[in-house]
Amino acid sequence: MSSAAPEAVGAMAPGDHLCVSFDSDAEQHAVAVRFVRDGLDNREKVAYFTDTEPATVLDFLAAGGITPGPNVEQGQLVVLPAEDSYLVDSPFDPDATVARLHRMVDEALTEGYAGLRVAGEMSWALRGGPGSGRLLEYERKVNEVFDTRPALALCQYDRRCFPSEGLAEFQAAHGGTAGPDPLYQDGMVAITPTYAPVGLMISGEVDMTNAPSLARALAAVAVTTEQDIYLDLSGLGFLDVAGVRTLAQATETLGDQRLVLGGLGYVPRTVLRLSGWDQLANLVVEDA
Amino acid sequence: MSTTAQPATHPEQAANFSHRALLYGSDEDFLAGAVPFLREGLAAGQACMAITAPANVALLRGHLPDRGGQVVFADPAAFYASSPGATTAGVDDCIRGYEQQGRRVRIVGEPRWSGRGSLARRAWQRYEAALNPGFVGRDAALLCAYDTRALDSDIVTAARRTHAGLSIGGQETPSSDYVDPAAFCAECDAEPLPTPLGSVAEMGFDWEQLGLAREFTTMHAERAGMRSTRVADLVLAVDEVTANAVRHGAGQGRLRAWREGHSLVFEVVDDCDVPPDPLVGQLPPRQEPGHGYGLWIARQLADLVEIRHGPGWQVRLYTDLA
Repeated sequence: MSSAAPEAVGAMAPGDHLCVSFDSDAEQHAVAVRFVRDGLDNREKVAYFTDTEPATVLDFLAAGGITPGPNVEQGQLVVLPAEDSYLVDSPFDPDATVARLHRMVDEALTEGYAGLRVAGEMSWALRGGPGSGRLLEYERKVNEVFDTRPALALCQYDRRCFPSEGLAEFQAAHGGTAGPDPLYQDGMVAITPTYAPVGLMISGEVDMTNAPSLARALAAVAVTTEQDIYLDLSGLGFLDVAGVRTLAQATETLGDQRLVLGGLGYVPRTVLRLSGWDQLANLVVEDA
Repeated sequence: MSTTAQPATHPEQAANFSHRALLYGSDEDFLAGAVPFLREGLAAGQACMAITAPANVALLRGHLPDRGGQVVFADPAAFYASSPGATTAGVDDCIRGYEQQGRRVRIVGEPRWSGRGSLARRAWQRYEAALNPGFVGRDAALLCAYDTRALDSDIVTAARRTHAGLSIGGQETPSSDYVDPAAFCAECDAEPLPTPLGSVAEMGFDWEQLGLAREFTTMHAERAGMRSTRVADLVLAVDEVTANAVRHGAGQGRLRAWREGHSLVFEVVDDCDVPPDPLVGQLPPRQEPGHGYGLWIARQLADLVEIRHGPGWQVRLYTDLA
């Protein structure tokens, strides 16, 4: 596993070859939609290689607020099934695939685009087709395209399919991992949605100045689910009474849902204990 | 009971909560006050605790049923070791624990006075005064023991002023010297704080620099050699005070740090012209998302918190480095 924090998908730029792993459709779609939208906005040619049907991809892009039709017609957005992308060669041929990507970059530039943006769903490799065991080799070799050309790629690994041991190897073959964009970010804190379980990851410091933004993020996530809301606070180095009050007030608007706090460091744990708000009925502190 | 006019505020009659001082000048006097208090509690099925020196514990065991087997004894050196604020929170937790079981608790407690400087002594007297409004209505009786042989007379005098009822030689009397707790605390806060003698590090802050203020606190606490959890405690305590200054004090303040003897001192000053409530941060906050928690928390994390006013707020947090 990469020890660095995931890079926000919205911050990706040419030169990046990042992987993203997910175990829910909601998380996959949130990241992929943002990646595609940025490519379209940046006048890049966007190639989406799916292990499902192109129609499935176009549907979730539309649900995510993109109107893909015109982009597809103009040729800026290309959605291809695995058979027409990674599996054009049988057996799968890493070198040929890398060469094909170079040609795609050439084409994109000729067509007047700023570069090439590739999103790939990699679960085709689990079908056991010929050459699929060379996926890791491909991921290592393809770095050269993104190191040298105006291109970037987001490789998507479904944790529901890929075994976790193998996943670490694939992640190591990339320049890093990508993740959902923060809901809120200032110089002090980043609040990022999580999907499995549903909640927020809160990293940095929360005090009276950004507690209102935390309140808004909590309200935003609370309407998306009826389950308990998990707050990953493992990256939260500071929390004061204003922040705890925000959490306590958030629990008042939840029905039967609980706010479950995990990964508490020393200061958040201390301020919760001293404020007495660790005794609320629907605020739960998970022990380390 | 005396028939002379009672002091204007007499919490003993008003609420469930009883808070009296046992002034004793001999073993007999101690037993005359503490034993009936504990025996009554035991007979009524109440929880009973005694937080007093080993010699007094031995005396009590000799006069209680089952050699005091039903009484919970705690070490006063440990119980009164932390700040007055943390001890108040400890008392609150203790009483709440018994309340949740539906039991009233009686506690004989003997605060520690030796080895404390004058500021600390006043802070512990303030602690006694604040117990009165802080625990109104709570299902508990506190009997605070004061050894008149060993304690300076000003401490015994303060005991008479901070407890509405006294137990002397087995006789219960209201204290004619009892003072309204807010007035007592205001009196404690009247004397100006000493000017720092050595060099003082200082920074101004407004709401955008609360994070910088935390870095300032961290730097000075680490420089003073404090271990990481203590540093974190202090960063939290000082942050609550700076946040208060931003909220209440025209949006800005100044944060200072210096060494004073064996203490590390942080001070936050601002321009707020509304004087602080003399009891601010000394009463257990109610369990609802309200306000006023910041100073309550600061008082539990720093060894001493002193507040002065005029003009503006001056809040000083002392932490022992020893």
